Amino acid sequence: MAGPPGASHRARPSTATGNRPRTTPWGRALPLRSTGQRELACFNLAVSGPAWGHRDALAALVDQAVTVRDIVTEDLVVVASSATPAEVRSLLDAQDFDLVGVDSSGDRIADRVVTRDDLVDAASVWKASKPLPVENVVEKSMPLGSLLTLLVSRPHVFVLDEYRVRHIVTHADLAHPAVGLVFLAYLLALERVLLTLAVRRLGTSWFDRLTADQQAARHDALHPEATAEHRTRP
Amino acid sequence: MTLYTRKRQQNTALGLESCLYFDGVNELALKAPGLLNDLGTTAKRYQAMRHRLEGMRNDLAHGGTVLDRQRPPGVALADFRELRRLTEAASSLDAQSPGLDELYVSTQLTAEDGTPLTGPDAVHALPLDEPIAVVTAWNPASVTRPREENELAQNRLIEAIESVGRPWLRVTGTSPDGSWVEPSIAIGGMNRNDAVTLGKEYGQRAIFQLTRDELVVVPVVKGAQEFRRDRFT
Repeated sequence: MAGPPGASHRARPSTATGNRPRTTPWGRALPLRSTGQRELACFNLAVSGPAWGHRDALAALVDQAVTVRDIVTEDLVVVASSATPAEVRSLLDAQDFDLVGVDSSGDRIADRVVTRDDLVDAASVWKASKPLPVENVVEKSMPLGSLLTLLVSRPHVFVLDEYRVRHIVTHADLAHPAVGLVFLAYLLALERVLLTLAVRRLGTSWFDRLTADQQAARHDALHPEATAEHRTRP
Repeated sequence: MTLYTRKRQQNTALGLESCLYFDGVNELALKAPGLLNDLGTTAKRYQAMRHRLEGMRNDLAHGGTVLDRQRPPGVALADFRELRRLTEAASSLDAQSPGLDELYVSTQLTAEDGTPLTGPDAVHALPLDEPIAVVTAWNPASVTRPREENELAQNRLIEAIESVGRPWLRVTGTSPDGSWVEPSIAIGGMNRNDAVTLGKEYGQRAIFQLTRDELVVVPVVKGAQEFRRDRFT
């Protein structure tokens, strides 16, 4: 699969499931649309909310404006739990995926997940699949910066869209321009505030603390008259 | 046209620091006493990460992505987590730092011959007739600029003072930790309004008034709060 190391899934609409009536053959509620919602909301709050103290204005602005919504473009591929392991393996190979969502209720909504490894010697997709891990599910409204910190310890996260898992974000999505925007905003914010703090501590001698190369590179900026004089010399 | 003069034409509050690039900022951060420690990191750790951050900033500023230069996603993400933590820590530290008003009012003034005019060892007899104003032409709006420009402006200030026949002497304003040093001019027999007008003319945020008992920070903006402290503290 084209993409950086760590990419686990490139999602596309699945044709493996039909528009079947919503039934749960095992007679139990779908976890994400019922009991899981409150847990998910709490999880998002813990990641993006109170942990932060004073915020740089630029970083805060970007966190407010750029969310997970800005990088999810494709749907999570979902297979029916009634599909055979061979069919799903074939799909994974064809799409070069590591995992797909599994629909156990027949409404084309993923409530479980199955990976390539899970399918080795599996008797059925349902038995091989696992419930979607709540700790790997985020809301579309989560600040993208918070998602990026989550992805440090996860190869992918699933994204809730109107209380249903519809998308997946992987390390491959780091190439998205919105991710670059968030990185750049934080870099600029750090640069600005570090400069203020460093100059305040170093005092009027701060320029002398630059390396010789850095001082030389800024000679043009620091001595405009001398530079102009030098340039006009025959 | 130089970088500094070009930038200055677009931004009147531009400081000399604005001409620094990220590598220069990082160099200063590494050398600023205790700064990295206060940000919860070490020079070794920051040094290890800074070149990746500088490369990433350069890539992004030129339309690249965080995965350019074969940067592994795990490394980019770990750097972002630390970048975010550092930004928050630095912002908090900045918010706790004393404001300009506090810095101004803590200034110690020393005459050119080394006589302390403020502080516990300050001389009781002032060297000029009251009211004494202390004005500088250095670093308008508290934004640093090249020494040559500061010295030219200071000379113009002295000429202006001499043209109205005021006695003056060179003094130095220094922050309590000695890190900030700014040459200034003490002017004898200059009332507050004239001193404020002069300060405003040279782009200053405030001027000092030195009395027998107090150092007063007088903002040049009408209605702004003034600060005062005992001259012998």
